[in-house]
Amino acid sequence: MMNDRPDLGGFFLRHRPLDPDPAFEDSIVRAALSSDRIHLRPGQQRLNALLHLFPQPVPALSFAVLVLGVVGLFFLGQPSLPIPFSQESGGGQGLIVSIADEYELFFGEAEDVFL
Amino acid sequence: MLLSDMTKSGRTAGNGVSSETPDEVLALWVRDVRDQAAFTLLVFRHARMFYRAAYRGLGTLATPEEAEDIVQEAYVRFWEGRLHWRFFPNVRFTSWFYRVVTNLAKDRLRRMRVRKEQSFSAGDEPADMSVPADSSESDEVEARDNALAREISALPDRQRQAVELCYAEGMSNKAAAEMMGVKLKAFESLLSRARSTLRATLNPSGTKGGSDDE
Repeated sequence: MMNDRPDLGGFFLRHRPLDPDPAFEDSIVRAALSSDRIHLRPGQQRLNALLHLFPQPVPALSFAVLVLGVVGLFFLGQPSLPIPFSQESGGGQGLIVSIADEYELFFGEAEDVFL
Repeated sequence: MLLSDMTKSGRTAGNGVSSETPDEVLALWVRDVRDQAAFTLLVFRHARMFYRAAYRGLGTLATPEEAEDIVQEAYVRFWEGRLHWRFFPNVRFTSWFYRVVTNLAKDRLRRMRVRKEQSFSAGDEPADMSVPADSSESDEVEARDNALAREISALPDRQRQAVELCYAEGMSNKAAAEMMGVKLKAFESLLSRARSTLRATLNPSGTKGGSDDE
């Protein structure tokens, strides 16, 4: 005779799902990690698109140029730096003259090269 | 869980992933930095529970292979970023992923039924969802179990899930309510309606029916 209250606990105990494969979890992880279908969120996509506008070596090259420039300016002596295109240095020529002076300092006569 | 708790339990101590790391933190790491260790931990923590949910969700057509496939598909989709886990306070990762898995199982079941209908004649009955009964069990128990299996699979989805979480997974009402993403009162109501439906349909003197929808 059937009970008024169904024995749900007993039912589910008698009818537990069959166990999955012992390597079930491993196979999930392997499947996921081997998947190459990566779907980026819109924010990540925008960032990636921005980065791909430039060739990959550019950031490293820019950084190297910046460092070399700063170091170079330091050794060449900041007080004598010209103010480009100002009245004092006689406009754009001042910059060239100053560069020529610096060149002379290291390599000798620079008139033939710059002027 | 508060966001501040998450950051505290974040990667301040080395690489961070430990058995105490909350699911929600692991899920964020998977989503944002595709952390393999976090993903692996989420798989090993919950895959079997989701497997059972998928198995039961497939009802009469359940096989271990299909259930495994559903869980794998859910996890792979999550890893690939095709599922959008969003952090909300008081919403657990498991309750969100449980819904993902049960919805995938429902879709799979629909497709399997269509295939079955196409390949067999209309009069064929689907296979019994239950594991074949042990020969030592009495006929009465077997008959009752078969009737119960039919009635449980005929329950509305939410009621069936409430029954399964409570009786098959042995969860407390509070934990099961969190898993389903409903308030405790709403969960108790679902469970109560499911019980009364089953009682009414399985009682030989009662009339069949009374299954209330959500």
